[in-house]
Amino acid sequence: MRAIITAASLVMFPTFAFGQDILTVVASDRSESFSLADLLSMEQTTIVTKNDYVDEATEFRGPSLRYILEDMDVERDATLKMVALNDFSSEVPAADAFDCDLILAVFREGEPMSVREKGPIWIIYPMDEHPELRDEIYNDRLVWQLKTILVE
Amino acid sequence: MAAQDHFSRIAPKGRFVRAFFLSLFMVAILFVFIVIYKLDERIQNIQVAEQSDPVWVASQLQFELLRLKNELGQLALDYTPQPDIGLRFDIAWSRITVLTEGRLPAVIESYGLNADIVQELEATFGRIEPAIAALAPDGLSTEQRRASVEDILRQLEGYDLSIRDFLVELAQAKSAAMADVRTGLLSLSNAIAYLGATVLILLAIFVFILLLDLSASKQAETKTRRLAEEASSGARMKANFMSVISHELRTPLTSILGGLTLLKLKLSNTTIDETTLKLIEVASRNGDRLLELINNILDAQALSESRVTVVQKPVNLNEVAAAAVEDCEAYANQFGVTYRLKTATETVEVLTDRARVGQILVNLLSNAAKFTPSGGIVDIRVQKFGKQARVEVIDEGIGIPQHLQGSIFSPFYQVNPGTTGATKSSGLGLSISKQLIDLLDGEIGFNSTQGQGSIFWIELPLISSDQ
Repeated sequence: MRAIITAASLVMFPTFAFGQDILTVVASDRSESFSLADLLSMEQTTIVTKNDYVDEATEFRGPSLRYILEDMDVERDATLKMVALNDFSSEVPAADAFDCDLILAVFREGEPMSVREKGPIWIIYPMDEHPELRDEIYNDRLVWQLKTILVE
Repeated sequence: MAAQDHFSRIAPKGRFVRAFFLSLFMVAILFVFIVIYKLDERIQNIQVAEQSDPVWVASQLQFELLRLKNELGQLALDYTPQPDIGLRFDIAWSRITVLTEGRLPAVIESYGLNADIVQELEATFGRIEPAIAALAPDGLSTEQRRASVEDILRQLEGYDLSIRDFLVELAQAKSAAMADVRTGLLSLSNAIAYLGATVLILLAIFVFILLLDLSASKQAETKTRRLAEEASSGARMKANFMSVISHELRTPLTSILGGLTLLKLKLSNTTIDETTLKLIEVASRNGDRLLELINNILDAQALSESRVTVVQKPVNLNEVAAAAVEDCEAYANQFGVTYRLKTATETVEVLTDRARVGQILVNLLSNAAKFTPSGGIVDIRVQKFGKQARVEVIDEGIGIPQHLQGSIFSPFYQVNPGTTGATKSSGLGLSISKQLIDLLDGEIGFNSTQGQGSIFWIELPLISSDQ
């Protein structure tokens, strides 16, 4: 199975190789990098939701951000600076990751996302499941082309 | 009457005013609904205006396009190899995707803008994609690369300006939309202020009306109470008046009757003038009737004020009936009526007030005599009837019509009001009898068929033998 995903990923990811690091999480005391393979080896969460940037309810899949934060002992009251490939950034309270099941989506409708389609990582909130998340504040936190998470 | 006048004066006016303010309230409530509906609409407009800001996304597109061109330029000048030129290209393309997917196309359309430029750019990107891909590998010579880059840059020429124009249009449209929202909100907040004022004024008026109503009803209440007091004191005055008059009448009447009796005695010895005797007789009879009437009024008065007391002692009803018959004999003789008394063989002993029972019986007997044709007979029977002692007075008189039977115990009631002078009465007798028998814990009743006569009866509880 892993071999198939690897093979598929290698074909589909023109920009990023399967083993290449695509996400770096920087905390005060340490920093960790994750490849697509690393992210896929974590427990996956599937969210079907609509947001302002898709035409209809779409299935997103990826690890919960909470797992990574817990792994790195990030506190609830921390602020996460989400940095995108073009170096733009947006701030997300770490509490979001603990309160609602927000994921680092790497698959959209079962397929990896290219950079053109806001990949390789897109932060997704379960907006359909929790209508209170359909708000401008959370809309700004749907960071796509995520590259780095700076814990502050 | 005064209270009625008062009500008839304020009621229609009050009803009109109330209806008027009620409809005003309805209008206000309708207004509230409209305002709330509008508010909701406005808030949705704000959300549309604020969310998924197309200006921001378009400016990112412009920025990424510039970065791409900058890196392409550097590549052409061959300063440094640009390994991430493909990534730059993809990021720029992703901004086009954002503008063409999800809600943004709808938002841009709602501004009435033409987004063809974005589509054109995407088509151009599609055309230059192979050339960009070919740049990355090291297979190209510097000359080839420069030529390729120049070609790409030529194809991208002009988009800077047109994307900037699009951005300016977007920004203007958005600020216009925001201005609309602001104006709408302002008018809405004015509407809410007016609404609040209206509701407050209406409330004040309602409270005012309520207070008016309260004071009006208080006045009416006071008036009613005063009227009631006047009425009851009027009744008391009437009663006192009747009582005083009756007493005052009785004293001289007794003297007149006594005088008449003496005069009759004296004249019957000396004069044999029939006319004189007859006149004296008429005077004496009418005097008696007047006295009876006065006594009845006094009795009725006393009963209605609960001033009558009864003294209950063991009494033999046989004796009471015999005495009553004896008392009425003379009266009945005037009408040519005779009494036939049939007492019980044994003693009929009841615990009661002898005088009162006698009064009742006299009343029943005189009534029977009055309503029996001349030459008729009135039967009186005393008997035991279970645990009751019963006295029946049976006449063969005119009887009581069916429809009048329910009311003969009411005061001033007469079956044949004023048929002849001789049978005229106050109409108080049966009413008094009924009240007396109630006081004595007995019962009074009758059976009657019109034209065939009546049976009036009273019943009193027997003194049980085992006591």
